[in-house]
Amino acid sequence: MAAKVITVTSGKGGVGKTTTVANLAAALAAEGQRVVCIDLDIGLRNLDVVLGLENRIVYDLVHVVEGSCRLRQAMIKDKRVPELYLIPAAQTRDKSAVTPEDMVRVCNELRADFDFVFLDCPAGIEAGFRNALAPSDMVLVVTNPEVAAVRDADRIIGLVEAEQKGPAQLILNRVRYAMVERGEMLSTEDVLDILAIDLIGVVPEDPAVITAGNLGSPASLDKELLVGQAYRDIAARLLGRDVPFMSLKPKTWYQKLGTFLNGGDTK
Amino acid sequence: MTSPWSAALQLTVDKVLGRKHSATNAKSRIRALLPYDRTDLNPTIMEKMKDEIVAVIGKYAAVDVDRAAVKMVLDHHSQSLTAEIPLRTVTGRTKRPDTSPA
Repeated sequence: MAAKVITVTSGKGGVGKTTTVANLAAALAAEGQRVVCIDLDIGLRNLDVVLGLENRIVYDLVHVVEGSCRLRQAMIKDKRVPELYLIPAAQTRDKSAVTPEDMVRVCNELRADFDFVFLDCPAGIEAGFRNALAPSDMVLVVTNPEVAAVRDADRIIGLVEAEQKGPAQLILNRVRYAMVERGEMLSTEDVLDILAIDLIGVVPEDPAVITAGNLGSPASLDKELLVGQAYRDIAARLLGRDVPFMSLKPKTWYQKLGTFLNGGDTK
Repeated sequence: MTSPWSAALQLTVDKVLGRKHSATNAKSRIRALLPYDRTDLNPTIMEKMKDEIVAVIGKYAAVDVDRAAVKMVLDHHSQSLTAEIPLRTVTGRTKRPDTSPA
């Protein structure tokens, strides 16, 4: 079976692209899928720390592209799940060290042996974005319910369509249920109404993502977390399962007590 | 700490009173912005375009220049221009432009 190459992009920085890649890749690998993620932010690598693999880097993507190591040598294996690998970005080079053709070649080499290849796109619409788009089979656009992020998402969606890599699918990240209820945050419906693309996931804002980042362990591996469930649901949708969108309404203390007394799982 | 009930109630009360929330503001700002982002146009160019359209139509009819408007309309992934060029009526007209078609 040939891998599906999924580009995760946003336009604006800081909306949660890298976190999304780490969580989806980990969730899919936990399901027994063979997954590779590639950090394309040459010069500003992040995915290694989000996955907690920063101490094991020897070779990186630029070494692979330049032929100074074999592809397998640059792939760092995550030991928490069966088949999850990271190809880190180079930290001391710039984006011109990799071309779109290089990325097509690398991804084609990976296709035969894996189920999913995730490309973590750098912010912006420059060279790094072109590199991440060239080999893509599917584009996930991450945005937040904020004016600047939605505006940039719209621009990216247009560029993805212009490159005939669309239609992109949307992940709305960092939604605060209580603020949406009060009318102080754009709702999922508002954002979909503006961007007019298909939704593949809504992820609540959760301090647990910060904690997970501190530990270098994706939240999607924690079965107790609502935010982890949101990522696992997206992973399931990527596997073609029809998963309903969960309610982001936080559980009340008596609901939590109820599940606790029933001894059931808290999801 | 607000309960979901009180938040819902507050929202209903605000709706009845016609109070605007910041999310409504955010949405309308994005909707106003996107057509320009998508087309590389800006309000200055739009104003210039309006003046030129008014000038062309003005060669054949008396345009009410002050009320003429060219607007951008956003509809999902397509956008269009809508020009509204009010004309002065023949009855009660002040004067026709004295430029005759060349």
